[in-house]
Amino acid sequence: MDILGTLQLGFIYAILALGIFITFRVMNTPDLTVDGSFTLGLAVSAVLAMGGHPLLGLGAGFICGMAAGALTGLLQTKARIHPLLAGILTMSGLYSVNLAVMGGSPNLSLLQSATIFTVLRRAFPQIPKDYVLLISIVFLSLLCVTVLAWFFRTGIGLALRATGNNAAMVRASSINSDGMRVLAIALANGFVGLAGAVLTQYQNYADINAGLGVIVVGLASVIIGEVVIRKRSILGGLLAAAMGAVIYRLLIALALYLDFFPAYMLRLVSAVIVAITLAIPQIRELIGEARIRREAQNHAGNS
Amino acid sequence: MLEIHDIKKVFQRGTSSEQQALAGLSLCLQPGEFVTVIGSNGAGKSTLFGAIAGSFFVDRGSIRLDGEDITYQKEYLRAKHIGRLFQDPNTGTAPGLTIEENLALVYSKATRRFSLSLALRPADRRYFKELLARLDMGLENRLKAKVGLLSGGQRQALTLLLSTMVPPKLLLLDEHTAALDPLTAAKVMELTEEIAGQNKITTLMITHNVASALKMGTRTIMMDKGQIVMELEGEERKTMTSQDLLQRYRQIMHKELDNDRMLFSGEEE
Ligand SMILES: Nc1ncnc2c1ncn2[C@@H]1O[C@H](COP(=O)(O)OP(=O)(O)O)[C@@H](O)[C@H]1O
Ligand SMILES: [Mg+2]
Repeated sequence: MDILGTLQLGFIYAILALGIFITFRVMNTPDLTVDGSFTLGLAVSAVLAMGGHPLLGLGAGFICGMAAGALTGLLQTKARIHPLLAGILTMSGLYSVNLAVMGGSPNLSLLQSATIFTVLRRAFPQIPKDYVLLISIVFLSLLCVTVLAWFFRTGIGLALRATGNNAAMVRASSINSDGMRVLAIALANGFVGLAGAVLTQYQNYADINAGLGVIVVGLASVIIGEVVIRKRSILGGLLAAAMGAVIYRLLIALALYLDFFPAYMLRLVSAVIVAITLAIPQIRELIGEARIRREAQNHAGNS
Repeated sequence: MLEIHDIKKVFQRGTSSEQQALAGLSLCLQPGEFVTVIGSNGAGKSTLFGAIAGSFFVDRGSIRLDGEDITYQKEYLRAKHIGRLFQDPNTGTAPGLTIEENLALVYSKATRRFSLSLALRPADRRYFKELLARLDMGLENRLKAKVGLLSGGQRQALTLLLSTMVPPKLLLLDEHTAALDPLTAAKVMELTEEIAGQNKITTLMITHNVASALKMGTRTIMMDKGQIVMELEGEERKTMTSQDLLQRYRQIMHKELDNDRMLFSGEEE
């Protein structure tokens, strides 16, 4: 089992999980834009790297992801389209946009191009390649956590969190809650786009279908992280999401290594994990009700 | 301070359930005045507050606050000068945020540029403690507790604090103690009087409790079918009992005040 490689991938997906955490937990509305914005970040980053601007590629991946998120946000708030449908519309439309960005070809190879990782490796020739990758990726995702943890303590950040909680209260504080919602979804997709942008330069290729199902991967990461880190502060939540993504990768790698299931079952397993975890409160309630009924019957039987 | 001129509002126009909720209502409030509003269910009291606060635009008429025409101003912009409390204690606070975060959101927005600087500063925390201590509910020691963990009364007191921390030009209270138990309700009422009085905030308060309607403030208006049907102030109001008021209602409206909660609470005190 390739532990270093798994950790590298895990910390790249941690950035995705941060984005998902913002919509799913902070705004309390899962957002389906991500399948499209992830690929958008990836496509933009690949094309810019091929043009000789790998670092610019990361920035552009973030910005383009934000633009996609903002569009979904506007569909939700200005056009009053159901949040899930708004996300689906953007995601669906992005498929064409992403293909256009990639010049109409469904995949691109970066093997001939400089990426941030080839640059870093050349800068630190004395450090083994895998460690350069891991350290830079860990650094980047921890930087994202730090920036977000700070942001959510600023005036605007606090307003975002309150909007996901009680939008009426935010309006009563004379803050435009619709604007806050658009900003939150934009920010979330910015991080999703960044994750795609890093991934494409890491694996040296871009694929139009790379984003398929990343929403479930992200949700699973957030949920797994919450099991491990139980602190419900905003920093706790961000760290949990990031760590959840790493643990998720490790679990999957382990399962594949031990041959628990073939690789093509991955999506199904992820979906089942998410479904079961989300159903746990309901399952607990059913068990509780059953116990009350049983005890009541015992009681009636005894007297 | 507040000048409402001949406002009208029809809900669901053109359907069988068309409702004239405001039927040409005019009202003027002097700066610092505390006016109580009574009237049976469906009289249009909450709709009047919605019109003032901008939950919707009125069909006709105008609303001016402190000389500024706000008839077509967006709700969140009016909120800068208008504080509003509802019956449900959940409406005014963010339950997933801590007490100090709720306070910091409102305070930093109102006193500093809304920005990317930290919302909660050490000096703010000391100030919040002071403010919370005045509520006398022990909240000053629970700054980091999630608001969702507080009781309804504590939450409503906190909402009152949030809406008045930076005194608004106008405070709208829509049966804000109706969902609380009698003791807590009395406590929140007391706080309301204290805070509004100290800061001389112009206040409109809807209540179903005839006794508090007469006791609090300096003027009482009664609404029915989207209009003001009676106004009480001065000597006449001072000497009036709850029973007198109900009697008067019967004379004017040729019917009982159909809000039985109101009858009970009128007789109670
Ligand atoms: N959003 C709305 N849509 C349709 N009808 C409404 C709406 N709000 C209030 N109404 C109607 O307007 C009338 C006045 O309601 P309201 O102002 O809530 O009364 P009050 O607060 O005095 O009990 C009622 O007949 C009510 O059914
Ligand atoms: Mg009402």
